[in-house]
Amino acid sequence: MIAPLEELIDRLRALPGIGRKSAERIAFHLLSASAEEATGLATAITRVKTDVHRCRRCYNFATGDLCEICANPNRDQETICVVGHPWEIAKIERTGEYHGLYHVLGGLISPMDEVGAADLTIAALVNRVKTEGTTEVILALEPKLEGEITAMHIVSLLKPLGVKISQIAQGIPVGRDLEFADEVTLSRALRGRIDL
Amino acid sequence: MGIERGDGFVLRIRAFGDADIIVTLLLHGYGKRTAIAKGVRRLNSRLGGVFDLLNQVEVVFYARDRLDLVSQAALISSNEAVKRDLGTINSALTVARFLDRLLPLHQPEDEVYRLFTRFITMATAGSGVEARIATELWTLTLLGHRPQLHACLQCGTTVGPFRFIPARGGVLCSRCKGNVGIPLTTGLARALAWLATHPIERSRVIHLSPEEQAQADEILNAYLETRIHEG
Repeated sequence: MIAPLEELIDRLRALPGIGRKSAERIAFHLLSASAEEATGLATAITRVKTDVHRCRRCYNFATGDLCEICANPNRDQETICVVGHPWEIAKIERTGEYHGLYHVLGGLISPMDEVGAADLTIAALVNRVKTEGTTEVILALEPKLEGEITAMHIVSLLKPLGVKISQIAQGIPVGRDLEFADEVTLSRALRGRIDL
Repeated sequence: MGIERGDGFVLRIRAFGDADIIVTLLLHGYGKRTAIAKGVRRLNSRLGGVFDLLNQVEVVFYARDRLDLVSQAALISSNEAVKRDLGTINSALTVARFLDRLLPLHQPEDEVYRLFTRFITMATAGSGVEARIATELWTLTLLGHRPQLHACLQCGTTVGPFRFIPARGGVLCSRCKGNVGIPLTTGLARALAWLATHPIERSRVIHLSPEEQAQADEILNAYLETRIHEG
């Protein structure tokens, strides 16, 4: 295969979720696409790298000093939803159920991978709660051990500040049969049951 | 490629691809295995709650040279009692990481498996840092790497202060040491030697100060790095 095409395939293969076949398919598509389409994609990739950075307040992706959510005065300024990664914000936003602010930790505490609290934006979260008049912090962290460790650590820091701390419910996904649920998921669903 | 069934502990999990994980397991009769579990990160996966760190699981897997393929899995215990306290979780994960780094792949190492089971039982009841350090020392012993901590490697004296020399796997006294190695007092050397030679269930009789704990961790980590580098 000719060198530029091979290089493109190799670079596409390095992307998450793209194997050799998919990389070849995309590469051949780009090869047969118009120059405008291919250049448009290249420009979009370049712009993402040059124009997008972290919001100085919540660490979400932003093109300005503040992200769109932090800059929106109509959002509930007293509630912060804490997530591990910026892409989780988009998921929550699509529900239309949440109207407050966010805080992106940049990962989860993981002793196995030597990621400690100091590697995340936990200190900035505590500072926000102290200075922004926050009344509730909602933890929307992944329901696995690293998420639980991170949640425990945050709770230990925020509890003394007297702010309300809640966690998103954990349990059975909508549309799933109970018989296929494992014991951990089911027991958490039972613990997190709601009054009707 | 044969199909195998085993039970054991989840030592490590890494996300792989869009929805898969690579899980490192310590399995009874099989030792440390790494396996790919496909689609586990999807919400509709039946195995989502099965593969979490420190869980005890039963797995059916296709055994392959390096990376096994998980076919089925069931949860035996999520060890919730271990996961209620930040200190206990950190202790258990530190041991899991120690095993993950030190154990070779596909060596049964059932003594190490039983040791980890005993450690988890202790952690369930709320064990201290000493139990974790004892478990790490015993793991080294069971794998043939027990460090000599009770006496100088060169002159044999049991009176310190000493320096631990990772490359030599033991301590040298102040007369023999030179300036290299990690310093440790006679008291800490004796405490670690005791932990390395007595059942981990008796580790409660030893009390290490926070400074001694940090020093013990420095020694164990340096020795672990040396063993990994050489092994």
